[in-house]
Parts: sequence; C-alpha cells; structure tokens
Amino acid sequence: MRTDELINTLVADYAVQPRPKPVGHGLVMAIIGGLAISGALFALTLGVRPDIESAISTWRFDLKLSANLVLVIAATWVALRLSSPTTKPLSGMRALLVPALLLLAAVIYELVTVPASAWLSRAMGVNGLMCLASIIFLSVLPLTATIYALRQGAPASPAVMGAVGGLLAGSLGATVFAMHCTNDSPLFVAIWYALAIGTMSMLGLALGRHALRW
Amino acid sequence: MQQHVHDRERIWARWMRAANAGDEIAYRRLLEALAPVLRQVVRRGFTRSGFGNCDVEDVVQETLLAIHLKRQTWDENEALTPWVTAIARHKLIDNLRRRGRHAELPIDDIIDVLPAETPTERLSSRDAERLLSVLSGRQRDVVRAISIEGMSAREAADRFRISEGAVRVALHRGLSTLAVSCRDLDQ
Repeated sequence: MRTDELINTLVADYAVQPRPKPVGHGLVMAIIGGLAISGALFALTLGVRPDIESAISTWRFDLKLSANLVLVIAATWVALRLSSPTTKPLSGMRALLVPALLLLAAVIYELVTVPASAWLSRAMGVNGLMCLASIIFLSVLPLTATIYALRQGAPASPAVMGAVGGLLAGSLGATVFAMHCTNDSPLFVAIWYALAIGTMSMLGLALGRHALRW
Repeated sequence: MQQHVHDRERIWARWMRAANAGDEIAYRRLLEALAPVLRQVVRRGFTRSGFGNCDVEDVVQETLLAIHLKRQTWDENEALTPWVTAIARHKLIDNLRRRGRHAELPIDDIIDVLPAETPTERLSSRDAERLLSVLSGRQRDVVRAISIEGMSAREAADRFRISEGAVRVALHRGLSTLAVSCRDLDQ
C-alpha cells in the first residue's frame, strides 16, 4: 500500500466518526459497568453485612470505604493522564500516595490506641484469605472492562498503564467487598485489601503489556 | 524558514481542531502535510540507530495509522507537534525493538524538520497484498477496495452487496487490525 493510498483510506474511515469519544468517556462507562456487575455478583453471593447501619457510624468502617474510594479516583486520574502518548510512564503517580498515606495514618493511629496484645488478632481478622479471594473475584470483571476501555489510549508504557488499570479494578472490587467484610481495622485493610489490590495490579500489568500495545 | 517552522504548529493544530469539528478537507491536509515530515524524522532516526532506510515508509505508515486511530488522545488545549512526535517515536522504537535494538532513542521534534519528498517508486517494503494478508474475508475485501482501488464506501457497498454502514464498520475494524498486526508481520 502506498502512503497516499493509506491517507485516502484513513480519510474514508475518518468520515464514519470524525471525533471519537475521549478515553475518559469509555473509562467512566467501564467503572459504572464494572461496579454494576460486581455489585450484582456481590448481592447474589456475599451480601451486605447485617450490622451495616451501626458500622456506618464507626470511623474504621468509614475510613476503609473512603480509602478505597480515594484510590478509585486517584487511579482513574492517573490512568487518564497516562492515556496520552506525551505523558511520561511514571508521571502523576504521586496521586496514588494520597490513599496510601490516608491508610498509613489510620494504621499509626490504630497502633497507638489499641494495645499491642490485640494487634495480631486485628491484623488477621476473621478470615483474611477469604477477603483476598473475594476482592479478586469481584475485581476480575471490572479489570476486563477497564482494560478494554483503556485500549482507546496511547500510553507510552502499556505495562504501567495496565498496572494502574489493575489498581483501579482492584479498588472497585474492594469498595464493593467492604460492604460485606466485618474486619474494619486499618491493620487488616493494610494487609489483606492491599494484598488483593496489589495482586490485581500485577494482573493488570501482565494483561496490559499485551492488550494495551498499540 | 524560521517563520515557516513556527507557523507549522499553529497551522497543523488548527487543521486538527477543524478535523475534530468535522472538516474532512482539513483532516486530509493535515495527514498529507505530516507524511513527508514524518518520513524525514523516521529516516534520521534509522540513520542514527545504525540502520539504513529499510523500513522508513513502513514506520511512516504505522505512525499515520496510529495518529488516526488514537486521535482522541490529543487534547485540543495542548500543542499538536509534541503529540505527533511522541507517536512517531513510539512507532520507531517499536520497529527497532523488533530488530533486537532496545535503545531509548531521541528523535527530532517534528516541528524542526524539513519535509522529505515522496519517492516515486513503491515505497513500502511490504507489498500491498502482504500487508492485507493479515486481514480476512470482508475486512480484506473492503480495505483493498477503498485503499488500493480507491473506491468510495458507496461503491464498495454496491460491489459487495452490503450496506454502506457495514462497509464502514469493516473498514474501521480492518484498520484497527492492521495497526496491531503490523508488528507480527516482521517476526
């Protein structure tokens, strides 16, 4: 194919949709869709904890939920930045420190206010492995939707973009799971939630390396 | 000359904005203006990395295809030439990696480069059929009819007895497939 022939073809294709939707449009759709599907799966399998009404008024539960939501927002923002080819692969990553520092502050407060003898039982919770598996289960479909939406982007590093997409999907799954989980201690969240979200990020990295190439 | 170079960003960004607003002629002008400049940038990049000009036109075409398929990632409030340069760089590095070069490669900003004239002979080292061979069935028929035979979507629809909408879908899917499978051809 000659280059002028290619240009003719591109112009013919341009006419179909002169202005494609921005990446953010698809990403927001993926977040909403991912939350809806995860929410439905959650309702069918795990369900909301019975003491939700009293839990909402405790700072530990509120912090668990808000740290996850802040990560959703930060990861979305970073992913959108990375979707432009002019953005350096690690630029904007500081935004991800916001939820991490929030959780760190809560961990320190917990360590100071709770006697050392209770640390271990708080950190291990009722069933950490079940929490880990549930978050991953609830994050898989959001990850698929997120990676699919990010394919519209042109990231300098597809692997880094995939890892951030994994963080986003993991925090979506964790936000949904937080409504079931009765382990509210920041110590538990910092271990098991972080482990689950980190696993999703690694999955996103491996997936993005191939699926987000362009 | 300096004047010309400084105008480039302004004129190209104006064309791209017009294209975003639906101006097909501006879009064609932009792609036609970019091609010779990209050719020069890519040629220099290959020379710098120690390769000849073997795949210059392939990289130019892959870059144009990526500009087309990723145009939603350009923010109208930002300069256009750094965006185009970043895409060209990505495509050039991708091509060099396929040859086992893992160099981080500085390429010229397209704003500074003089256009290289189009050579008259067939440029691409892959011949047309080989490039199209990654497509199958309807997509290949439609892309070939529109690119090589120069048909309009309407004419292609008449020939293949499908709707114009189906032609457009096949064309777009075909181009997206080409973009991801270009690299596999060389392996």
